[in-house]
Amino acid sequence: MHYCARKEGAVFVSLKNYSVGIACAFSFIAVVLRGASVISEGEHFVKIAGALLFFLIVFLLYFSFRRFFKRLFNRSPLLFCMLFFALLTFANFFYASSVLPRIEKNTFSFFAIQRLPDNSLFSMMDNRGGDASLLYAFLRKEARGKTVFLPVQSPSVDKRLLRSLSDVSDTQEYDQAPDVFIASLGLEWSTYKDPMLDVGFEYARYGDDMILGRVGALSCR
Amino acid sequence: MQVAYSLVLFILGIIFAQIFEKSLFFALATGYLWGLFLSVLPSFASLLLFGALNLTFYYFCSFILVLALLVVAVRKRAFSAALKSFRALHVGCVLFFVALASLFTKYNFSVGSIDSLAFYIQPGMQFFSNSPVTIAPLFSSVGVFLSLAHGPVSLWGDEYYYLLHPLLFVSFCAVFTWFFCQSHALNKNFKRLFFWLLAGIWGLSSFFVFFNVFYIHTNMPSAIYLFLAVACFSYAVRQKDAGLLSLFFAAIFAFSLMRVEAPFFAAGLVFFSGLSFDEFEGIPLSKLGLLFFPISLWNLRLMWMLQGGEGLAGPFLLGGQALGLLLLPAFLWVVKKLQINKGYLRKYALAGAGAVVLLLAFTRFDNFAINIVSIFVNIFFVGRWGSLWWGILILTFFCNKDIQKNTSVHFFIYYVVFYFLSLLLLGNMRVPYRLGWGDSANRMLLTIFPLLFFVVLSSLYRLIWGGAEESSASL
Repeated sequence: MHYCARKEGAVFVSLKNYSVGIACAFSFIAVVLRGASVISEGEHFVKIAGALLFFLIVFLLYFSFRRFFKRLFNRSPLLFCMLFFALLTFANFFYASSVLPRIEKNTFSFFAIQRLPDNSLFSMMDNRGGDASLLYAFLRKEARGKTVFLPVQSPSVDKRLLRSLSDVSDTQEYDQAPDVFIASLGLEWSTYKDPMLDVGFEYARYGDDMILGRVGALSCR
Repeated sequence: MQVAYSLVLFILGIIFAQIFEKSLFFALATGYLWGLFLSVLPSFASLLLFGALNLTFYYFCSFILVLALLVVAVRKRAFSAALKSFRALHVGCVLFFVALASLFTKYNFSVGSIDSLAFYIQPGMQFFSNSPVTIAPLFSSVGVFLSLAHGPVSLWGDEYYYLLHPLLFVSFCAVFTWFFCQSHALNKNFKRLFFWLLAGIWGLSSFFVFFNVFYIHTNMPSAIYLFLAVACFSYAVRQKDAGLLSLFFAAIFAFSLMRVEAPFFAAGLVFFSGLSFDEFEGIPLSKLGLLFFPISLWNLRLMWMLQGGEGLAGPFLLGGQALGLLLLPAFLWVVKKLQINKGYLRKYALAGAGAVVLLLAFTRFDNFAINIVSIFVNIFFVGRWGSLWWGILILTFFCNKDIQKNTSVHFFIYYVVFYFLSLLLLGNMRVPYRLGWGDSANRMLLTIFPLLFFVVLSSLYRLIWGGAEESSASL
C-alpha cells in the first residue's frame, strides 16, 4: 500500500514536471515567435523561426538519444569528453574559417592574422575597427584640424562623434549629389581602401580641407 | 615604455597580493590584475573628488599609494615570506611576463571600434592631457575603469595601452588555472592536465572569446575581475581566512568600475555569496560598507551631473544602485542578527527577482520578447560564439545530477540565474537588445561565461575522476 502510494506520487511528480516543462517550452516558443515578428515584421521572421526549429530539433534528438549518450559517457567519461571537446573545437574553427567570412567580410580573422605596421591608434582603427572607424581614423590622420565636407544628412555619420574622434575643426554639408559637387569644383575622387579588408570610401582634397563622398554607405559598428 | 610600465604594475600587484596571501604562485598569477587595479585608484579618487583628473593630485596619490603599499608589505613581512619561497621558477615567471609583453608589443593585434575610441581611449587621453572632458554624458553608459587604465600611457606620448588587454587575458588564464588547481588535483596526473588543456583550447577557439582578447572594450576585463572576485572568495572560504576576503573586495571594487550597471551585478554577487556560505559571517560588514561607499558616491555624483538621464543613465538605476550598495551591508547584518534562514532567503530572493522580471515583461511585452529573441539567437547562432553555448548546454545536461548534489555549486548557479534575470531586467529599462555580436547583452554574456565554464568543467571533472577529495574541495 505504502509502496503504491509512493509509486503513484512519483508518477504524479513526474507528470507535473513534464507538464511544467512542456508549458515552459511552449511559452518560450511563443515569446520567441512574438519577438521575431516584432523585430522584423517578416524580414527576419523566417530566419529566426528556422533557427528556433533547428534548436528544437537538436534538443529533441539529444533527448531521444540521451540514454545512448549517457551510456557512451559512462563507458569512458574521459574519452567521451576528449572527443566531445575535439568535436566542439573543430566546429569552432570551421565556423570561424568558413562560415563567418561569408556572413561578414569585415571579420577579424585569426587565420589571416597580420601584424599592424606600428602601435598607433590609427593602425588599430584602420585595419580592424570596421568601416566607420576607418573613416574616423583616416580623418584623424589626414584632416586633423581641417574642415570636412559631407553630403547632406549622411545617415551613418554622427557629426558630434566625427568632430571629437577625428579632431577635425568643422564639418560642413553640401546639398548636391557627390559626383556633381566634385565635378563642379573640377576635382576627382580618390578612393581610400583598408589595406587589409575590402572596404573603403571616396574622398577628395579641397585645398587643406577634405570632401567626402558616399559615406552614407558606411556601416557603423 | 609600456613593457616597463606593465612590469611596474605587475610587481606592485605582486606586493599587494603578498600582503594578504603568502602563496607566491597566487601573487604571480594575479599580480598584473592587482597592479592595474591599483593604477586606477588615484585617478578614480580624483574624478570622484574633483569631477576631473587633477594631475598633481594623481601624482601625489600614486606616490602615497606606493609608499603605503611598501610600508604595509614590510610590516606584514610580505617580502620575507616571498624571499623564503623564492625560487628560480618565480624569476622565470617574471621573465616570461616581460617576454610576453615584448611579444605583444611587436605583434599588436588590438581591435578598436567607435566605442573603444569614444568611451575608453579618447577620454583617458584627454584626462591625462588635462583637456576639458564632459564627464557626465561620457560615463552615462560606460564605466570609468578602462579609460583610467588606458590614460596614463599618454603621459609619455603613447596613444593607447595596447598591452592592457592581452596581458589581462594572460593573467586570467593564469588565475583560471590556479583556481582549477586549487579546486582539483590537476598536477597529479597527465590525463587530467590533458583534459584541462583540451577544454581550454575549446574555450579559446571560440571566435567571440578570442576576438575579445584583443577587442578594446569592457567585457573581457569585467569577466576577468568577476572571476577573480569569485576565485578569491572561494579560496578565502576554503582557507577559512577572512583576511583573504580583502582581495575579494578589491576585485569587486575593480569590477564595479567597469560598467555603469556593474555595481548592480557586484551587489548581487555579494548578496548571494553572503547568503550561501557561513564563512561570510566572519567578514566585518563595516569593511563591506567601506568598499561600497565610494562606488555609491560615484553613482550619486553621476546621477547629479546627468540630472534626468534616461535608461541605464536614469536616476532609477544610478540612485537605486547607490542606495542598494549602502543598504546591503546593513541588510546582511540584519540577516545575521535575526538568524534568518539563508537558504530560504536566497531562494525567495531569486524567485522575487524572477517575478519582478515577469511583471515588468507584461508592462512592455514586445520589448521583453525582443530581448528574449536577441539573447537566444545571439547565443546560439549569430553572436559569433561558435559551439561554446551549445557545448555548455549539452554538458550541463550531463552534469545535471552532480550540480544538483554538490551544494557548493549552487551559489554559482544562483548567481548565473540572477545574472540572466538582471540582463532581462536591464533590457526592460533601455532600448531592446538587438541581433548581432555587438549587442550589449551578447557582450555582457562574456562576463558570466568564465564562471559558467568553470562550473561545468569542474562538474565534468568530478564525474570523470569523482572521489570525495574533489567534492569537498569543489568550489
